[in-house]
Amino acid sequence: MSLIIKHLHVNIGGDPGKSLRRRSQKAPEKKILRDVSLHVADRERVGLVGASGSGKSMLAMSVMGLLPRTVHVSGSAVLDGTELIGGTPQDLADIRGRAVGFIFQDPGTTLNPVVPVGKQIEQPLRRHYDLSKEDRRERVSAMLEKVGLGASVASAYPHELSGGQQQRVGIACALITSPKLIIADEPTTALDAMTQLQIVELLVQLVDGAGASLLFITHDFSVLARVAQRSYVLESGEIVEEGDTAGLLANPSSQAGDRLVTAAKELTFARKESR
Amino acid sequence: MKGFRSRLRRALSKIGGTFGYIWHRGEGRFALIVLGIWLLVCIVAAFWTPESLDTSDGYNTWASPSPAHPLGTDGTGRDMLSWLMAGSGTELQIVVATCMLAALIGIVFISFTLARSALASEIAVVVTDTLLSIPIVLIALILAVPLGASLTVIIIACGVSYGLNLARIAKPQAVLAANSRYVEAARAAGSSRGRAFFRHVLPNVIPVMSVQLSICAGTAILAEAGLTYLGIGVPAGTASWGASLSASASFISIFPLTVVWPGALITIVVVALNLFGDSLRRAVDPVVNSQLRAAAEEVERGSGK
Repeated sequence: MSLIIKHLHVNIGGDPGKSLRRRSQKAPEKKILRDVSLHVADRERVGLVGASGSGKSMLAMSVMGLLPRTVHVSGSAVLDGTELIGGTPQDLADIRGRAVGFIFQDPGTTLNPVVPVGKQIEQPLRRHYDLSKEDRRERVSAMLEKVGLGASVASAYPHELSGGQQQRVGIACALITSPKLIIADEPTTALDAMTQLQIVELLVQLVDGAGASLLFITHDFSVLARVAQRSYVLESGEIVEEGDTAGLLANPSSQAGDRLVTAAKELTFARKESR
Repeated sequence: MKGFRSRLRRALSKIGGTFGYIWHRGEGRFALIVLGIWLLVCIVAAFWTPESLDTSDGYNTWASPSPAHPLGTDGTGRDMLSWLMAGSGTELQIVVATCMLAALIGIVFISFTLARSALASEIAVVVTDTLLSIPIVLIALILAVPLGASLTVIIIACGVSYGLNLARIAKPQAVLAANSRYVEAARAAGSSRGRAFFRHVLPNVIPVMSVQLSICAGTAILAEAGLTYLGIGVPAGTASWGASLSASASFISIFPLTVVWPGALITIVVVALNLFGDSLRRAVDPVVNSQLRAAAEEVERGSGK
C-alpha cells in the first residue's frame, strides 16, 4: 500500500471555534508543517527523522485526521488512490486501524491501565470486522504468540508487563487487523537499548512478513539504520533532506541531518569510552 | 445457547471474585452482612410481617419492647418491628432508583463535558455548577407542587442532585482519561469518540463512580428521612424508616426508643453502604486490587522482555 503526501501544510491556533470565552483569547497562528512532500511505496520501509519538536508526530496525526478542529491541514495525502485530507470523519475512522496501523511512543501510556491487554488488542477487530467472540479470541492469541508473548498475557493488565512486553502489545494492537501501512511513531524511544533492538527486529520481521509498508518516525539514527531503506529529515516543519538511509548516515548534506548524525555518533563514542 | 451459558458463567465468576475480595476485608464483610440482612428482610416483608400494617393497638400506644411487640409500638399503637420491616422495601426502592438515575445523569453530563464542541462542553459545566448550587430540599419542594408527597419526588430530587455531583467529582478523572494517549491510540485504531468514551473513559471513571454511588445510596436514605420529616417525602400510610422516625421525633425525650430503632437502622445501613462502596472500589480497580493482579499470575513474565 502506498502513501503519497504532497504540499502538506499544518497550522495551529487562530480561530478557537464557538466558545463562551471571548474571541480575544484566540491564540496566534503557528505553522507546524510547511510544504511537506514524501512518499512511501508499496512494501517499502521509510524513515522520518528529526529533532524533538520538528513536527514528525504531527505529520502522522494530520494525515489520519486525528488533530483537533483548531488545527488547519491543507495539501494532499493519497493512500492507494484515496485522498485523506478533507475526508469525512467516518471515512477516516474506517481507514484508521484497518488499512493503517499505528504504533505509539510510550506503551506505558498508550495502553489503558484498567482494561486487560487482550481486550485492548481485540478492539480494532471489534471495530472493523464482524467476527464471533471465539474467532476474535483465537486471533488475539495468535497475534500474542506472533509478537513473542504467550496467549495467557491476554488476561494481564498493562502495569503487570515490562516496557518491552507493553510495546509488543502495542505492536499487536496495530497489526491485529493486518493493515497494509504501519505508522510507527518513535516506538522504541521509551525502551532500553537491548529492548529497542528486539522491538525493531520484531517490527521489521512482522512488517515484511505481512507485505506491509512502514513509515518509521524517530529521532534516533542508530535505530533508523536497522529499519528504513529510505529516509527523510524533517526540521522546523520542513523536509530538508531525503535519500537512502545508509547514504544519509554516511554523508548527510543538510545541517539538521549532520547534527543528528554527529550527536548519534558522539553518544555511541561516549558509551564506548565509558565502558 | 452454549455461548450464553459460558458468558453467564464468566460473569458469575467475575461477580463471585469481586464479592470474595470484599468479604476478605473486615469492613467489606460487615457491609455485606448488613446489606444481606437488609435484602433478606425486604424479601420477607414483601410476604409477611409479624403484624399486619393495618393493625393498630389503641390500648398499647408507646409500648416498651415486649414478646408481643419486640421493638414496642408507636404513638398510634402500630407494631414498630412490622413497620420497620415493611419500610426496608421502600428504602431499597429509593436507593436503587436514585442510584440508577444519578448514574445516568452523571454519565450524560460527563459525556457532555467531554464533547468535541467547546460550546456544548462549557454549557454542560455551567449547567452542572448552577444546578449544584440548588439544595435538594428546594428541588424536592418544587417537585412536590405538581407531584405531591411521593417516592418520585425523593428519587428525582436526590437522583438529579447526586447525579450532577457525581459528574463534577468524576470529571477530572474523565478528562484525564479522555485526553490520554490510550484514547488517542483507540482513535488511531478507528474508534469513534463515543466508542472510545464507553470503552476507555468509562472504565476509568467506574472506581470513582462506585464510591460516589454508595455515598449517594446512603445519603438518599438520609434525604428520605429528612424530606419525609418535612412532609414532602413518603406519603402518609406508606411504611418507611424516615416516616417512622418523623412520626416519633417530637417525642424523643419521652419515648426515646421509638426514635432509636429507625435512627439506628438508618445509621447502620448508611455506614454499611459507604463501606461497601469503598470495598467495591478496591475490588474493581485493578491498580489497587492485588488479587486482580494475581489473577494474571500465569503471565509468562520471562517471555518477550
